[in-house]
Amino acid sequence: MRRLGLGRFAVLAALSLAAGGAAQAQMGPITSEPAQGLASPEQSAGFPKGRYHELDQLPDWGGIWFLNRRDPAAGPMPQPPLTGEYRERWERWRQQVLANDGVELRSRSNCSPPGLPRIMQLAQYPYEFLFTPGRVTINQEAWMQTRTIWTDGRGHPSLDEFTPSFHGHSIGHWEGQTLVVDTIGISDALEVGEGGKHSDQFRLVERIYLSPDDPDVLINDMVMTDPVAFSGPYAVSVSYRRDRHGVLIEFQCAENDRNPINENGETLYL
Amino acid sequence: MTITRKFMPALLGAAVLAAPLALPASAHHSYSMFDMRRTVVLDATVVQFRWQNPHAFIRATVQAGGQTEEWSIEMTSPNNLTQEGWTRTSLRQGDRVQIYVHPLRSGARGGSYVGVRKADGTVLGTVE
Repeated sequence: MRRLGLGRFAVLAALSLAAGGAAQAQMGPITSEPAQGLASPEQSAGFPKGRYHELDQLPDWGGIWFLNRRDPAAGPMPQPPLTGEYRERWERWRQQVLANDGVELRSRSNCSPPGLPRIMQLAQYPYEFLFTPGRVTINQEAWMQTRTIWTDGRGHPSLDEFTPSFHGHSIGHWEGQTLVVDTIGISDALEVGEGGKHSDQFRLVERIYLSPDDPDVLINDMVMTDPVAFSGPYAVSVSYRRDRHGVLIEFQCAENDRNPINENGETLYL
Repeated sequence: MTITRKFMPALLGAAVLAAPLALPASAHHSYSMFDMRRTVVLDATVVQFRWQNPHAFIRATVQAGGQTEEWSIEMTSPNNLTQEGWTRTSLRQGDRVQIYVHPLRSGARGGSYVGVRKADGTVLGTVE
């Protein structure tokens, strides 16, 4: 009897693991390690309490912000100074677009976001900037994307430890009323400029500040560098106009995907 | 035909209206599927007006030589349209409207919204 009872227990235990206990069994400690480069763990954005009053020193970026379309008189947007094989790849891309009646073939769904830097240059979907102790959060209506910019003094992880992503890893600091953001780790599958690609050494530095001429205009001076793919720095400046009482609207692309991509990379129209 | 009479030759191959609008670059997808240099006008009846990202849409029927064509008109984002004066109830099913569009280059019955003139004369967007 006793042996039979133990046997039953073992079977039940095994079933319980298989049915969902497995994840729990492998779970590590609940608290992650503090980020590297912090003066102390208590300086982390994870400890906001008691520091909200510091936010009053920051500029007024309230409301939502729409990209100002480029002045046609300013000519076409400058393109990145691609070099070597990156330039050759871009040239092949351009020839393909020309051969396809001006329409770009896509390998990713239109429901997949563009990532940085393009997502900061979208005319149709506004942005909002949220300040909390130790971080700035940019909510983007486009694809309902969220950018996190750590301002708690942490550094970047090494690229060996970071999975390249749509927004990479951003750290920032305030120089007076200007937010300076440094971003690395942006996926090299994403575009820079029209049809360009960059290497995993790509870096984006943004200086974001209210226009001295108009407090309802926010300027973002972007400078991109890539020692592998670019022959020099690539500077793009964009600006946004404020809608003080506007709100972001939901963006659930899969619920209204009229432009799927077929197996040939063509954008369909439903 | 799908278009008001004076613009009919346009769909038959001639150039239509010059489109002075800037290309809406940096959207949810490329606009190169549309002929942004041409504008055509549809005398249409609204079937559905969908107010949702990534693009608002108008589905509309157009009488063409005894037949009913169904058109799908892609607009910009609701938040951009709000700045033009649109609301989610600007169009209702059954509304008779003139819709100005940049047509699909494929010739399929679709286009990119330019402007709408409603039966009561209300104008949204660009209609000339």
